[in-house]
Amino acid sequence: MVKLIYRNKSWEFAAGMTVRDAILKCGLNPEQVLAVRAGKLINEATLLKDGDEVKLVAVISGGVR
Amino acid sequence: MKCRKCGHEAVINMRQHKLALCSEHFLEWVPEQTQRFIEKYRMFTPDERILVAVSGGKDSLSLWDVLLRLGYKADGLYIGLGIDGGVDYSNQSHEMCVKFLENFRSQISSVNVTADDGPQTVNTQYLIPKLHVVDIAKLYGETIPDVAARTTRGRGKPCSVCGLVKRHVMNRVARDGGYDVLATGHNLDDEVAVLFGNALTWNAGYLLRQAPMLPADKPGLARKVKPFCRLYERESAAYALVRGIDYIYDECPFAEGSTSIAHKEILNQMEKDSPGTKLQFYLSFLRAREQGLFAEQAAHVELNACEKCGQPTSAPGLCAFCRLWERRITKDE
Repeated sequence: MVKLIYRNKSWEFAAGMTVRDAILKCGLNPEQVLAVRAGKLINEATLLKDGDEVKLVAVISGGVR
Repeated sequence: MKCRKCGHEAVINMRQHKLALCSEHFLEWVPEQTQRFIEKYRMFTPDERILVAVSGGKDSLSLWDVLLRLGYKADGLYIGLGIDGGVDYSNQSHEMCVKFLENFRSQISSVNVTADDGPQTVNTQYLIPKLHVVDIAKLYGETIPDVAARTTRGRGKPCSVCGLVKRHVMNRVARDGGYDVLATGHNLDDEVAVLFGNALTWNAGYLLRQAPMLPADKPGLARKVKPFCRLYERESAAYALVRGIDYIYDECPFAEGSTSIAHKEILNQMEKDSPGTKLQFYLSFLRAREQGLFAEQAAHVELNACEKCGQPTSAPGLCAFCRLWERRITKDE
């Protein structure tokens, strides 16, 4: 499983999807978040592996849903 | 996805440019692009002194970082607005600016300069930047939320008062400090959100004044530039993350639910489906402006010097900033 964390929410998905697909599955716009894994920025085509924990950082500061 | 320049793993893919870059090349690309736009829009030259308005956020701190790395003489200006919002917002923002400067200074002092003929003594007077701090409550006796609470300006939200005060202070510090130019961290998303809002109402006056560089064409006005105006907000945030700049993630508590954020979300929805939409919108606007679409409006803009502070104002007498504090004095009496 992979875990995505955005502000005070989190989602868990099966491994094997791209960062972009995972962001979309969270209901977020990939234009508005950056993905950070183990403290490093990762690109949207990165395949998520089992055990990955990805922090999504809001691009627009403030009230983005 | 691989970096187009070196083939290493990319950290970012900029779909509007069809360009993926690794961390090393992304950190080179952002300053290169910034320099390109500084020259293209004739913002400033290496000899000029720049005042960068910093808020502790990703855009302004990244901009300051880039300008310093490009070798510009850039000092910072932090304006303490007295906003708490339950998160000690203003103090946190100030801390981020101070921390940035401390980090930068420590990097500068650890640099060993060598040349072909051996170690050189370098005049670091201009290499070490300064941070000017203006605390609104200390200077004028009230915080921004306090001022907003007693005026009708902004209909209950402090954003309008805040914008007015910041514009006044930035212009004053730039002018009094002998700076040639005032730089702000506005990115392309900021610009298209404003453009979108003004296009919805065809506010020609505002559209005319939106530009990467506004010349100091009236007495008392500082030249204003936006060196990040062609950089997506996503890229500005990525630069701060990759460069390791610590910034305040939460923007002003009063920004939540704002129209500009709603406009950004609409534009990003279009960008998701059609990469490059935001960039094209902005570039087309700049072209139209260049071709004189709003030229007729220019003839009607006339500014006077404020009777009290001397800063330019559209109406004769006191400027909006001085009227704001004048009302407090009258009320206190």
